[in-house]
Parts: sequence; C-alpha cells; structure tokens
Amino acid sequence: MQRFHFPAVEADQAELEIRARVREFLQRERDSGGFTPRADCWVSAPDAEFSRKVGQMGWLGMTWPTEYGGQAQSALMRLAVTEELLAAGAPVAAHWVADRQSGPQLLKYGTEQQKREILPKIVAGECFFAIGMSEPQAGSDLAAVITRAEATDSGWRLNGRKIWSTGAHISRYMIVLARTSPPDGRNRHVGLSQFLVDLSLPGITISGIEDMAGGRHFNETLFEDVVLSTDSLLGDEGQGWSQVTRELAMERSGPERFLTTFVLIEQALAAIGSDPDFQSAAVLGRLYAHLRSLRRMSRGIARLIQQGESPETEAALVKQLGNQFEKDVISGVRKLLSAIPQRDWPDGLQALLEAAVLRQPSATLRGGTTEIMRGIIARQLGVR
Amino acid sequence: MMDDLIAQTAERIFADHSGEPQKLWQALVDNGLVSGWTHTPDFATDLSLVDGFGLMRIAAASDTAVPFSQTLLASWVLGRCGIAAPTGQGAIVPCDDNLSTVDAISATIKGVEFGAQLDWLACHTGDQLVLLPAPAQASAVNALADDTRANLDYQNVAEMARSTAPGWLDRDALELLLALMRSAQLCGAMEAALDIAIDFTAQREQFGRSLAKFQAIQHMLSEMAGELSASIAALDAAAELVGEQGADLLSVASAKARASEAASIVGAHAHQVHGAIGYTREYALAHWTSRLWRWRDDCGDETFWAAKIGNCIAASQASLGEIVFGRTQA
Repeated sequence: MQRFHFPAVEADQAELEIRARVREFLQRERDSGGFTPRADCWVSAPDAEFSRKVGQMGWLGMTWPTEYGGQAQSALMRLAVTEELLAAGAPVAAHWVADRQSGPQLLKYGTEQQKREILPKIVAGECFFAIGMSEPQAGSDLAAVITRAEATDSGWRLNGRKIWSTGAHISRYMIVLARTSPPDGRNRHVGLSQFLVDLSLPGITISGIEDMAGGRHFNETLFEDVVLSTDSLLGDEGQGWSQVTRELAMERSGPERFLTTFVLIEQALAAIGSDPDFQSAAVLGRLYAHLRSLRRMSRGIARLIQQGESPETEAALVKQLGNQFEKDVISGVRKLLSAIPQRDWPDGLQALLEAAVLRQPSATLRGGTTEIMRGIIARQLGVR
Repeated sequence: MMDDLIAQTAERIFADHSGEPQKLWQALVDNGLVSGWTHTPDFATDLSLVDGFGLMRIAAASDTAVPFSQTLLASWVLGRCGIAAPTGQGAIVPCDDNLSTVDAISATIKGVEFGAQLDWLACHTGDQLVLLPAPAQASAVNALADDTRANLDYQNVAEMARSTAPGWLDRDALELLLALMRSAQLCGAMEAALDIAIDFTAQREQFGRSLAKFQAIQHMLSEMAGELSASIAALDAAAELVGEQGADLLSVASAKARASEAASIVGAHAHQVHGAIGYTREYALAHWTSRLWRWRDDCGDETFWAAKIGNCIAASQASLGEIVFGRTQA
C-alpha cells in the first residue's frame, strides 16, 4: 500500500533560468570577496548585507502576493533559489527564518496592516525574524511551554523565556508560542496562542549562547511584563498548536534539511580528481544516489505546499532521511580524503570539514529531533 | 506516477489469486497485463513504461511468485527488436555464448529465474537477440525461497526467432533495464515486508500491550518507511526516464543503489520486529525478505552501481552542482 505521496515535478525553462541567474549572482559575489562558502550556512552565516542583496534580486518572499512585495512565484521556483544558495554555502542565515516560515505565517494569520507593513521589508531583506518555540523546559515536548500571555485592558502582557532563538540578536521580530489559558486536563494542545513580538519592546532581554563550534547565533530571550498590543495576537486565541504545526511543516520540509554539507562534496571532488579508484567512486556515487532521491521527494513536497497542503508527514520523512544524509556526507568525504595527505587538500577544505563536523550534532536535533520525526511517521503508519 | 486504475486492478488480481500461481498467471493474461508491453507492428504498447515498472513493483509485493516482470520486460525488448513475444512465460538474459548456429543451438545458460517453467527465453548476445524455446533440461541451482533458478541446457535446438538488436541495445543497455526491473521488485518486496510488519506489531501483544505501542518498534517501522519512500522516489525517477532508447544510466544506477541499500535495513528490521515467528518457513515474511537479500545483489549491488555513478561524476567536465541541480527531471 502506498502510504506517502511525493508527486513528480519536472523542471521547466523558467526554473532552469532562475537557477542560472542565482549561480551567476553567487559567482559574482564570490569573485568580489562577498562570501566564503560555509557549511550549515543557513544557521552559521548571517550577513545582513548579503541578505539585502538577495532581496534586491527578488529572491525573498518570492511566492507571496505582489501586493505585499512578493512575486507570486511557485514554491518550485523558491525551492530552486534556496537549493542554489545552500549548495553554494552562501551566508543566508539572517533572512532564512523570515523568508521560510515567519513571512508565510504572517501572510496566513497577520492583520492587513501587519502584512502591508512587515512583508515588504522581509522581501527587501531588511527585516529578520527569530523562532519563539523552545523553552528551557520545553524542547521536544513543545506543548510544555510555560511562557504566558495574559489579556489586559489594552492587549496582552507577556512573561517567560524562549531558548535556542537563533538570530534573535539581529532580528526585529519573534513569533512567540505562549499559553493563554491552562491545558484542558490532559489535552495540553488547547490554550496555546501565537504572538507577533517586536523584539525592541521594553522588558525583553536577549542574551547570547555560544554553540560548541564557537558560533554565536543562539540566544535566550527573556520576556518580563512585556506589554503587547491587541493585534499582537497572531491568528486566533487558543489555536496556537495547529498554527505552530503548520509553521513546523514549513520549517522542516526544505532543502536545508539535506544540503547543509553539500559544499563539502563539491570541494572533495576537486581533491580526488577525474579518475577515482573503485572505493572512492562508490562513496561518491552513493551520496549522489541518496541526494537524487531526497531531491525528488523534496520537490514533491514543494508541489504539495503549492497545492495548499501541509505535508507534515512527508516533511518528517525527508528530514529524517536528509539529516542522516548530511552525516553520511561527512563520513563519505572523510573516506574520499583518507588516502590524500592533508597538505595536498584544496585550500580551505580542512577548515570546512571541521566546521561541518562541529555543527553536525545540531542537524538531527533542531526543527524536531529524528526521534520526533519517527513518531510523526509512526502515527501516519497507524501504529501510534 | 502510475495510473491508479491499473494499479488497483493489478492489486486485486494478485490478492484474489494468492497462493495459486497458475490461476494468477491466467488472470494476468486474461486482463491483458502480461501482454501489456508486447508491441504492435508500429511499436505501440498497451501499457506505458511507467505503468509497467509500477506493475513489477506490485507483482513483487504479492506472496505468490510468477515470472510476470521477467516476461513483461522480455516482451518489450523483443518488440524493440521487431520480434513479437510468444505467449506463455518468458524471460530475457544476457548471454555470453554467441549462439551462432541457427538450427542446432547447443548451450548452457546459467542461473535463469523460474528457468524450469519458462515457455521461452530471449537471449541477448553480441548484437543479436535470439529467441529460444523451453529447454529440454533444467537443473535447479541455488534454491533460495521458491522462484527457483535453473541452469538451462540446450542441445541441438532450433531457434524460434532472431534479430539484430538496434544500436542502442547493447549489453550495458540491457543490464540497465534488468537493474531497473530489480529496483521495482525490491520496492514491492520492501512494501510488503513493511505492511506485514505493521499488521503483526499491531496485533501481537507482549507486556500487556501491542508491540506497535513500543517506541523502539515504532522507530524501526518509521525507518523502514523512510528507506522505502526514498527507494520508490529513486525508482519513479528512473522509470519516467525510460524511452524508446532504453534507460538512463545515472537514474537507474541511483534507483538500484538506493533500493539495494534500503533492502538490508528493511529486511533486518522486519525480522527484528517479528521475533521468532518471522523466522519460520510457514510465515509469509521470509517470502519477501529472502528475495530482498537475493535481489539486492542481483543485477549489480549498491556498491557496484554507486561506483558507476561516481566514475561518471568524476569524469564529467560539469560541476557537481550542475550535475545534481541542472537536469530537467529529478
């Protein structure tokens, strides 16, 4: 029985053209010293200036309606752009969350005024967002959040603490999941709501947490009696769980769940030359076979999103497989390079590999652990 | 993507004739599925290529083994060579013997699946396609599970037909088609192994609850579903690229490499969640897992095909990005 559906999607001329344009842009940027390729670039490499340039090219919010600055392009066109940016290891971290999930969330649940004011700024690459889901006591168990928003005469008062808020220190907004009423007995999915929070408001303290690779993207974001206006409530009061589930489908389904180490293969290829031995050829070919199948599924998901579906389970499948693939890339590249003395490696490859290795543990954790993905898949299989 | 109606029809036929290979075969013939890839004189077939590979997947998910996929593929290749496939069960094999004499062929062809029951055999040798009748003698080899392989002995046999293969149809091109058939069969057998594992773990109780309620079991089933989905994605991509000039190297190599690798994980997990019952001849699981273990190596294992891909990529002038992202079909 066929349980999961990944529709086939052929690339049309428009897609091939936009890919060529992105590649030209990236080549220009690299040549002019605009960036050095980075592993895990959508988290590790924020660069506001680069994001502005991507915005000027028209590649942010490109699926959104033109009235909010978008170009009403297909999800496939956006996928083409994001794949090319990731494959090049470009510094896209600053705008990533806003373009991927916060903008679409605003588009669906924001007020008209919020959409008119904020979405064009995201499109321009001038307004960044952070995710406000995890808390110190609510990681995989997201429904355990205790950050709370209390209704006041003029809006809401927010108290609590969010953690792992990547990029909060350079972001203008955070979409915060907070409890607005107590759980209904054992049903903890009720009583949650989402809020659009301006991070410049009084009562908000953002403090950095260094990751094990020395990166400074994580934060803890503290909310102490933060006064929010009525229209800060995003969507409907009490509908936070279903809204956040939809947001997570966008967060989990993209090519950043399998391409974060791609730049390593490209550089290792230069080291092994055009006539590899059988073992090296097999290592390289295996990575290609896995990548090809992942891309096929990923394109199918983009099509489902285009059709208005929220392919939560398909996204979980791709994330589970894709995160494993990213680890396989590292072990594969190590095998490819093992017979070559380090002094003969291409410039920068060792640093790139080490950076990728140090960032690897986070891939199978962020955006939902592999174990959470397996639980989602198991539910679809009917065993949970 | 396969046509839903054809898929449903085939699934019903295979389900209705479970355990009855002869009746199953007759039903497949009666419904026009066996002859689906037999060409009309103007090279048309009733069944599309994508649907045909989809049928191979469905056939392999059945608990009843008949040489359906082999017959279908052989019919298609014969048709491309201008030979109409005979009725009955057949197969196509690459053949090292050049079968040069016409009316008194003597040859031994080794390890032919279903060899003892075939009505005809298409042999690809050099640039020739030679159609042989059922062999006088077939000796079983390597009897794993029940689609027994046989060495076929031909002594002074007259060929049924002969044709020069079209230029594209060399040995490598045939090996690609066979590998794609195996990929489809691997996907079907993995699907069946996952299905039976889900059913079993939902019913079997230990420690006062069904096995399916244990997270360790759920995670194995989810991992199987992931491996299967990835294999199907690679299979579909390759099947869609098959045309009148045969199959595409990188896509078939990816499909077989992916499915062969997945087969090991799916087979091992399927047995692990079943416990001892899965290890019996009586229980159905072994029907599929024994095939998974055979088919993952048949027609080139995952390392063989991965190396083919790796050599292609390394030798290419194009960048990896262009190779991976530059195609019109995923």
